Amino acid sequence: MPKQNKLGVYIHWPFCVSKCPYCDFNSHVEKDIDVEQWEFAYLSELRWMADIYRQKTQYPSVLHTVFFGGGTPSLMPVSIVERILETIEELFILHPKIEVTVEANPSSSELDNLSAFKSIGVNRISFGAQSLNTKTLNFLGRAHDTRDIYKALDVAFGLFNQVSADFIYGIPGQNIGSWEDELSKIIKFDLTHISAYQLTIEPGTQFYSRSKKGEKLTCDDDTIADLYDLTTNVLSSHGYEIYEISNYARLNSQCQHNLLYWNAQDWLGIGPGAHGRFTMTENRRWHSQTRRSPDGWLSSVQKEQHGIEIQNEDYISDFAKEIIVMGLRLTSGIELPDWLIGKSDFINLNWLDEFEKDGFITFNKNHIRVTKNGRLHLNSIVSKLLN
Amino acid sequence: MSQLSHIRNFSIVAHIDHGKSTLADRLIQFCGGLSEREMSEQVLDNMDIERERGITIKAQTVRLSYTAKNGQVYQLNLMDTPGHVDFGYEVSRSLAACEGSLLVVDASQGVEAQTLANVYKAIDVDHEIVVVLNKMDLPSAEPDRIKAQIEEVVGLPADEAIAISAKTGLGIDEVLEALVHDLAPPEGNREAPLKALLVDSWYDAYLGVMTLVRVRDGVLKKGMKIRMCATGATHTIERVGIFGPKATIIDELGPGEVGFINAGVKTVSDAKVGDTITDDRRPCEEILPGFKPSVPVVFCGLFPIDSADFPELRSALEKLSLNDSSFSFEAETSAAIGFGFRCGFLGLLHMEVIRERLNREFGLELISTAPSVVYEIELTDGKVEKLHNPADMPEVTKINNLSEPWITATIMTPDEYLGPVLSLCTERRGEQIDLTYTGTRAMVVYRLPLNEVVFDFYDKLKSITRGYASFDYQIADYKVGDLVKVSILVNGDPVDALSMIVHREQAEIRGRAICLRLKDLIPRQMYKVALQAAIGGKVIARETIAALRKDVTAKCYGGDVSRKRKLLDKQKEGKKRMRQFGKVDIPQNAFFEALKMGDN
Repeated sequence: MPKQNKLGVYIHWPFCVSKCPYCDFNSHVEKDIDVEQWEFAYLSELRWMADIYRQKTQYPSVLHTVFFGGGTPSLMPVSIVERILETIEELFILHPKIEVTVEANPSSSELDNLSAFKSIGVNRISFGAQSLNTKTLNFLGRAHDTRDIYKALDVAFGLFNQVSADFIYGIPGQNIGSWEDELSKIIKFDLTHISAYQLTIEPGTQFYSRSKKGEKLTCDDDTIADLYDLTTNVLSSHGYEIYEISNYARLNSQCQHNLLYWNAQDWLGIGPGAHGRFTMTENRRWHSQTRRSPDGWLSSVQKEQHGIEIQNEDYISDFAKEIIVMGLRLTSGIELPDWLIGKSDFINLNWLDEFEKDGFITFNKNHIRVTKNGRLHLNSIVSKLLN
Repeated sequence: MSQLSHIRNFSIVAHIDHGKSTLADRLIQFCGGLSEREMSEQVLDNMDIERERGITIKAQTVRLSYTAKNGQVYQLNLMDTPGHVDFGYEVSRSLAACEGSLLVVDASQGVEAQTLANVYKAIDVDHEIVVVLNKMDLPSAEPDRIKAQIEEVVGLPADEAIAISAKTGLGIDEVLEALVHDLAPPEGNREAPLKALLVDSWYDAYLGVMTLVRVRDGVLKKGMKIRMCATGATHTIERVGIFGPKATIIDELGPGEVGFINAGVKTVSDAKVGDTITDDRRPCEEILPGFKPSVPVVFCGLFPIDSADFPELRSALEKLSLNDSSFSFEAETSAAIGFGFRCGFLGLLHMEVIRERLNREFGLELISTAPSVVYEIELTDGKVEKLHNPADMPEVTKINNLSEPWITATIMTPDEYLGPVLSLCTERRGEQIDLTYTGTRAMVVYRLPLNEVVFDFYDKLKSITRGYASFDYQIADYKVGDLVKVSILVNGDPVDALSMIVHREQAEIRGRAICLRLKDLIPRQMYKVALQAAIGGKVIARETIAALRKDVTAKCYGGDVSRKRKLLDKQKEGKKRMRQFGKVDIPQNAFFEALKMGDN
């Protein structure tokens, strides 16, 4: 029997105070939420998912991570979070070092919830800070200002050992100097984990329609590359090691939940528009996707106990693709399962050879890893390896 | 049938746009060939393109019945001819079937390059020529000046030139009278063995292969067994008819008459233009001289933008060639742009017309490679080969020399533009033969390499003279030239569709232009892309597309993975439209665009 996968639970809370112009996540602005109905729905779907996981795998249900994402899950009524965590405890065997993360906005109204979250078992907080530059925050349409960020982090450090924050760079007018300045402020927070994302214009966002009309919303490709290198160098010299394309961590502070995705492990996806994956046997993987619309999901769960729209067993070729797409994002690379590497129809071996010669990839036995030079070309590398 | 003395066969020759087809229409109308209702503008131009562009591509024929002022009825056979240089072979054919010509000259524009070219063809075959000044209704008409010009430049007496307006109908009766009185009737012997000239043949969807003939001696009748002298093939005549201008069945065609026959001929190529048709049982002793076959002089590759259209392109080309034996095509494969055909044309206009018909009548979206001429290569082993496609050029070490076709070009231009015209010709390696003035117009005669003309000579000439210059040419000869093949290399691999043969002096400029164009069209990639223009192994121009520095998705979590995977599947689909050069994939579209820009 193959090595048991790690298991996590992802809970999606689809509501925000306002919609940011760059965000393509499943988020909605809603004032009146029926707390009881939503609580009931989350618990039903959670039970249903735990059930199907048990039916389709022979593994004991040891749970390694829980992640509340969104939306703005820090806006969730604490009672719902509490009932979810209680139910999780009832359904799974909790790993002693279980990581329980809540994503939060650094606005003052949400800070009151933080200590309550801590008291019910949340042990990691991840802030959508996005920038320490007022102009940038305005450009990104964020509801908070830099003072809110300082205050929020202050509160968070008093409560949690693991505090992460997200930042966005690559906006028009940004240059090495201004980003370096911002990075030096970020470092001073002494966060345990930093995610730094290049601004990406995603279809369906306000930024997308604006850029279609010709507005320039990102800086040019060469500057982006410079900013990326700068980020990695500055953070590394301050003890944040890059472990994924856009993620940096102090020692023992990598996000365990996100590692499940990149390592093609198992997770159950609960809530509107959530995706779940788990491995049934060696190369057979089950996959679920729930309805995106909050109302649609809610009514489905009320009728059928789950809001799943798509559930099926992945084609083996799709599973292979996901392993490579996700695994090569990690600086440590991944161990390819025998079934994948043994059959050359999943990977283009000529390109594998070429990339190794060109110093973009290292490949040793089953272990494959993208080098520092290759990292910036990951999309091309993956596309060529898989086609 | 008519008495020989009451038959007149004539062509109309003119420069493009001088009103030839309008005059033909007016003559038909005058003689009652069509009712007012049936008259559409320029009835003899059948194709959409002919009507829209005001050009005649196919020669047309029509029989008129004219009651002259002397009370006698005459049979007039009119052959309308194309005015454009590309279709000069059609003019020669029509002239061979006639005894005289109407020379139409625009009363304000005067003699133009094709006026000369066409009228000289008529003089060469001993035609009587009736000079007509058209467009007299225009205020700018200057009949006296133009008459003087005709005498001076063409060398024809013009004091009796008939002043007409085909548009208003002015002078049409005089033209008809002149045809009857000034042109010679045909000669021929009704009792002699059948001898008829095969003037043209084409495919009609209803009637099958149509054969246009001019009878010299004897009679053509339904049921007769005829023989095609060139092939020896025999056929039985099913139908004899004339165009009036509608196809009308008649009993027979006698000496001097022009008409069509259907004789169970399967394909147009079995009815060779210029052949002599005779009676199988009583063949004539001598055959008619026939025509020089028309040979394609300009070649280009035509490729469907959607490779799935390849079979349709083949069938479209086959259909078009049924009625136009003057263009050739053979399948060609390009590593860069896929499957297509190498096609040969009589000239640039012919090429444009065919391309437009493929697009309009068959809905095909095509891309064409740069036009090329036919080179002659003398190989080191003494063999001489024709080269239609730069991509097929043998290795330099195997070539003794390379010859290119030269033309004799006649350009007529208002003298104010003479300077720019002369420098254009010099720039294109031209050698001046003659330069004459009549009034304010200059006529220059140059020897020019055809490959300089097919590039963009017409467009340049038009723009530097604001459209006032006219141009005509004849292929003169082949001459050895310092010609080189410029290959365009992407990361060291040649892009066949972009290679070209040019004069050594222009190699660098032309090569660099293409490299720069590609640099704009090819997206940055993971690896840098080297674009080179080279002669053999020697690089003459180089541009580099720097590698893309960052191409990685910023965020990819549990919910993104399906989308990412679908994106990869889509890329795989898109890869069909990519061409691999070493380690880089270049969208086929970049080459299409590069070729398209070459058009302008």
